[in-house]
Amino acid sequence: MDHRTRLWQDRSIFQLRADRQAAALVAVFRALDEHRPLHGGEIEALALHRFLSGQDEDVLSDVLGDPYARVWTRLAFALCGSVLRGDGVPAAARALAEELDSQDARALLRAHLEQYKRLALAAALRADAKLEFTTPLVLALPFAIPAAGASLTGPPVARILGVADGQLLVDGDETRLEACPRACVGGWSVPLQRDGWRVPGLGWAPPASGTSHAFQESHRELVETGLALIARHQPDVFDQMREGIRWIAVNPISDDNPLNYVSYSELPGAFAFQGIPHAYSVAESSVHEFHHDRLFCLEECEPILMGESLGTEDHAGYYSPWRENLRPLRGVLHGAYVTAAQLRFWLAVAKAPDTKGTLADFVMAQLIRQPVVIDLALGQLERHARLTSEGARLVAQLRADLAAMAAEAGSLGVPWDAETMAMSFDGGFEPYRGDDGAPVSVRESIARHAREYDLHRQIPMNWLEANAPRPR
Amino acid sequence: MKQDKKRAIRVNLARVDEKLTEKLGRELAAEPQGDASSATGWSDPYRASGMKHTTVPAAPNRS
Repeated sequence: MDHRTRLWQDRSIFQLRADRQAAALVAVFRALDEHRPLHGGEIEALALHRFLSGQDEDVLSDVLGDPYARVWTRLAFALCGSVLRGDGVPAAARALAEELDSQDARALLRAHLEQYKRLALAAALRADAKLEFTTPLVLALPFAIPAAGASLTGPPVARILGVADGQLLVDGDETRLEACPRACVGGWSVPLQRDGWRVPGLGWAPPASGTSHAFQESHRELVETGLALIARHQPDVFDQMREGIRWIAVNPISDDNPLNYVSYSELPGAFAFQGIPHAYSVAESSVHEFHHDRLFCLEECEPILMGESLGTEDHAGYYSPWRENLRPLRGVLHGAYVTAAQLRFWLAVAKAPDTKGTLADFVMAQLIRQPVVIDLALGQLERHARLTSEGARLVAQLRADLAAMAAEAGSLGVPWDAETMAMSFDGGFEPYRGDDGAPVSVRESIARHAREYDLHRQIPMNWLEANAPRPR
Repeated sequence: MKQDKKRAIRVNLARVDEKLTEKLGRELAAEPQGDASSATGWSDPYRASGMKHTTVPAAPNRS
């Protein structure tokens, strides 16, 4: 397979990630069965795993492909390993330890195994099978039922006894099953699931979690219009999203929430974005977030950055053209990749015969900006990152793709510089104004950002000179 | 609760990669390896901690 296909189109990476997750799940239950580290506290989970393993492949593909199955498996693997080795609380379980106010890895494992009931009941619902828990599953509501596109809502806490006749058996009658609104485009029906992040051990949730199903429903048409733009201009990307994305959610508009646009390596197949009332904003955000997931998957199949180059938010030391704070190199890599994905989208839009007027002006500004900032980010990686051999090949391919896309933009008549454009809330486009109310060119805005936020002066002077706005 | 379309990404617990499962089983009982290139990814301390990507919309440089 050539590297370009690997970078943008290869779908086997998603299957490989699912295969590895399934192997990790099986390894956890084999270890629990063999070592019995909870001295009997694992018996019900083992029985539920036998129930789940007996379901057919369609059911398993739905339920264990839900983003929560990854969260559960990741935590179970980390906690089971820690208990078997006699270690303390693993890094992956810090949020769970905080939620349960416990630093006892064994107690955390016991509590986490209880949550396997979430996946077991989802399988029972999906298979229309009967399931009775030995002890009720006590959970906080709302509860996003995996693979169901629905939430259980009602009082703050519910006790689930099992599943029968295709229904949850709930102790008490105050709960309600609420189907999520669904965005339906080109045969794809994706739930707008605001509750999916409210799970033990995750430790955070985007602002969408505080909204109602009615709020999500009020954005359904907007999401459909945005996804339809991807289906029209990038059918291959749309098909990949259709295969891999399980739910999305719309965040309320807010200026300064860092979770306004978010995706997470341990919640693959889910993302949230801000509900800017503009179809192209939804399209661009979705392309952006989906490609974070695609890159997470590429990284998981074959590491790209080595050891300390991966970095963490605590070891962020690199200028990024997208952020006001310094970033780890992994963040810079993700920025370059997802912006290249956006550039591919805008190039496709630019070539559409009906791209005219202010849309064409906006697209042109994107075709100026994005190659420049991708070039800047790739330069950061080329100067500072320790790449694996696979990483070197993929970054080189990204560099080659950038050159090809920049040439294509040039062939479409994109000028050296232009006025920055922004999406307006009426669905149109308007000139962007800086803090002083004056217009600002694309290259001037990039140069200003670098002057202000490249704290360690990592961008070479000759790059800044070569990419400077030309005098008007 | 039935889905209208078969998933393209398949999961079958009866047909897991046995070699990988055994390796993961050994990793569960052993010290995590620090070298990302040699780990399955499930025990690697960098990748196991996950990465959350957030984008703060700071026009006009928002990616």
